[in-house]
Amino acid sequence: MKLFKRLRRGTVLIIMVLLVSCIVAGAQEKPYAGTTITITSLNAAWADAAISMLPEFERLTGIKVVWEPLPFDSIHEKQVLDMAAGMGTYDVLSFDNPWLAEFAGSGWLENLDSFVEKTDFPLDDYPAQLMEYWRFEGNLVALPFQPDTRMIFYRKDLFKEAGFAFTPRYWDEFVVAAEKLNNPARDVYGWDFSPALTVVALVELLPWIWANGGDLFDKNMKPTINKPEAVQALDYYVTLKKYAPPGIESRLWDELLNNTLQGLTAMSVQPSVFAGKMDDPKLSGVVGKIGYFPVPYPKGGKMSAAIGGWCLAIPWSSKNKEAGWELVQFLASTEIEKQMALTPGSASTPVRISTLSDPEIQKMEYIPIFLESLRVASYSNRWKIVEWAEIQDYFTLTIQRAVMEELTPQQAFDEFAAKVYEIMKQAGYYQ
Amino acid sequence: MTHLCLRLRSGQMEKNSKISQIAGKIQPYVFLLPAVIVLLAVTIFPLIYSLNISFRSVTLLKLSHQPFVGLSNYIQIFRDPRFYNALQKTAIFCVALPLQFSIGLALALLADYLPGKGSFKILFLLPMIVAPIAVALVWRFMFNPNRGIINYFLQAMGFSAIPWLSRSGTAMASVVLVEVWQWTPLFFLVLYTGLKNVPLEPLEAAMVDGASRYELFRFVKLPFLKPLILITVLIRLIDVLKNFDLFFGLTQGGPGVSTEVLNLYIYKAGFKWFKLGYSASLSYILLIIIILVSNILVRRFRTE
Repeated sequence: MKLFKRLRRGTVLIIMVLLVSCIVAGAQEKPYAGTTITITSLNAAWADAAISMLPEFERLTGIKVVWEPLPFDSIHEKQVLDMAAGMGTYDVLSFDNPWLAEFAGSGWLENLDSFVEKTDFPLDDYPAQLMEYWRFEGNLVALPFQPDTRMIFYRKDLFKEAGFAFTPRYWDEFVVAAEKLNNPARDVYGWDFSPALTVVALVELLPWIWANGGDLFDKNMKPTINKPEAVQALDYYVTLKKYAPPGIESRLWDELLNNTLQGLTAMSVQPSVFAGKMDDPKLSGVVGKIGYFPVPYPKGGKMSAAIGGWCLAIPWSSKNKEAGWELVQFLASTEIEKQMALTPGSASTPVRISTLSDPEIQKMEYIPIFLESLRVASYSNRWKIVEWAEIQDYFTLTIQRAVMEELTPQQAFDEFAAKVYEIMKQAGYYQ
Repeated sequence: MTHLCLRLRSGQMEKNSKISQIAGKIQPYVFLLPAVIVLLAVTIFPLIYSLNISFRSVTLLKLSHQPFVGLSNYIQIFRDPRFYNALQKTAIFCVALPLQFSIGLALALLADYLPGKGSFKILFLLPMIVAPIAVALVWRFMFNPNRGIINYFLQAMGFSAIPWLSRSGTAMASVVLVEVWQWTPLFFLVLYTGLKNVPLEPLEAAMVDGASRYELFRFVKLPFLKPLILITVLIRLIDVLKNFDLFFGLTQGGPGVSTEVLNLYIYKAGFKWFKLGYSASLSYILLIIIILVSNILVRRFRTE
C-alpha cells in the first residue's frame, strides 16, 4: 500500500516535470510570443508585399506586428520626432539611407553587432561594398534593405525603330539617342528626369559629377562642388532638358514614373525598384517594351552610380528590441527577400548575395544592370554628415535653379559651395 | 417647540447659505476649468515654450542640449536672404485678397439683382467646403502640363500649353488662382447675406429721394456692409498671410524658391532641417507681422 502511494506520487511528479519542461521548451522556441511590435516604413509597394508575409512571421514566433506605412513627405519627420522624444512608438524602423548619419549621430540607433553575434546572423552574405556605409563609428547600426540604383529605362521598340544597334554608354552617344528619339509632334520625348526639390535630383546628378571626376568635398571636407568637373556635369544635366516633356522644372518622381508608364518618354532615369512596375498591366501602357542600361558616363571618365535604398534598424527608444530583431531577421532572410522580389508589382529588390545569385532573381531583366551599377556605386551622403538634411536641401534647390536657367551652372555651384562652407563651418567641421 | 425648530432650522439655513454662497461663487469657475486647462495646454503653453526656444539654439537631433543664445536667432533672420525672399513671396501672394473680395462682391451684387431661389446659389459655396490640402492635390493634377485637364482644354481651343507650376511667374499665379477659387465663395456668402439684410427704411427712403442704383449701393448698402467686410477681410488676411496647405500641396515652395512663403519656410527650417530654435523665431516674426498688418487694417477701416 505504501509502495503504491509512493509510486503514484512519483508518477505524478514525473508527469508534472515533463509537462513543465515541455512548456519551458515551447516557450524557449517562441520567447517573445504575445508581444506586439510596430514597424514603420515607406508606403511603397514592397511594404505591402512584406505585410502579406506577416502572418507567417506570427506563426513562427508568436509576435504580432503592426506595420505603419508612411508617405515620403512625412516619414522623415515622424521618425525623427519619435526618436527625439523617446516615445518608443516604433520597434523597427526602415529609413532612407541619407538619414543614417543624422540618426546614428544623435545616438538613436541600437548597435546591431551584439544581435548579429547572438543569433549568428550571416552578415557576410551582404555585399561588402555596401556594408561599410551602414557602420557609424565602428558600430553596425542598420542593415540595408530594398536597395536601388538609378538606371536608364528605355523603350526597346523605339530604339529598334530608330535603328540603334546598342544602348548608349557615353555622354555624347546618349545625346545623339535623346535627340533622335525626341518627337514632340508624336507625343514622345527623348528624355525625362526629376530636378524638383527632392533627393531624387541629387541621385540623378551625383553619378555624373563622380563619373566626370568631381565631388562635393575634398579630403579635408572643403567644398569642391564649384570645380570644373562638377560644373561640367551640371551643365550636361541642364542641357538635356531640351529633350524632356514640358514642365520639367517641377517634375516630381511620381510624375516621372507616370510619364514612362504612359509611353510619353523614350528614355528616363528611374530607381531600379520601379522596373517591377513596367510590366504590371494594371499600371503600365508599355508592358514588355522597357529595357534597362546603366547611367552613361563621359568618355575618359569612369562609370559611376548612386546607390540608394532603405534599411532596417532598431531605435534606442524601442521597448521590444529583441522581438524587433526577430522581425529584422525574418524580413532580411533569403526566402522572404526572394518571395518579396518575385511578388508581381512589389517593386522589391533583394540585397543579399545569396538571393541576388538565385537564378529566378537573375532572370529579372533589370537585375544584371542593377548589379553592374552596384559595382561602381556610392551613397549620396557617403561622408555621413549629420547636418546632411540642410545641405541636401540647398543642393537640390541649386540644381533646380540651374535647370530653371535662373543661374548658370557655374554661378549655381559657386553659390552652393559658399553655402555648404557656411553650414559645415557652423557645424564645427573646420577647426 | 416650533420656535426652537424654526430657530434651529434658520440657523442651519444660515450655515447652508454660507456654504452655498461660496459654492455659488466658485461654481462658474469650476465649470470653466476644463476649458481653461485645455486652452492653457494647447495654446498658451506652446506659445510660451516656442518663445523660449526662439531664444535658444535648439535642434531636434539633440533636444537635451538647448543653450541660451539670446537674440542670435533673430539676428540671423535679418541676415538671411531666404527670409527676405519669403517675405516678398508672402506679400505678392496677398494680391489674392483684393481679387477674392472684388469677385465675391461682384457675384453677390449680381445674385442680389437676379431674382430666383437662393438654393441655386448654394452651389457657389462648394469650393469653400473642401479641405485645402485636397484642393491643392486635385489642382496639381489639373495643372499637369502634359496630362492635366486645363492644358487639354487650352490646346483644344488652339492655345499653347502653359507650364503652370514649373515656371516662377506662373507658379505663383497658379496658387493665387486656386486661393481665389476656393475663398471667393466666402465673400459671396457674407456679402450676399449682408445685401439681403440691408434694412428697408433707409433703402426705400433713398429710392423715394431718387437715388440711382449706384448711389443706393454706395451710400446706403455699403455703409451697412462695412462691419461684415471688415471681419471677413480680416479673417482672410490672416489666413492668406499664414497660408501653408496650398503651397505645400501645389508647389512645395518651388520651382526654386519662387513660391516659398514665410509659413512654408518656417516649416522647412523646423521639420526638414530640424532647426527648431530658428523656426520658432521665424514664426514669432510672422506673428508680429500679422498683428501689425491686422492693426493697420482695422484702424484704417475705423477712421473711414
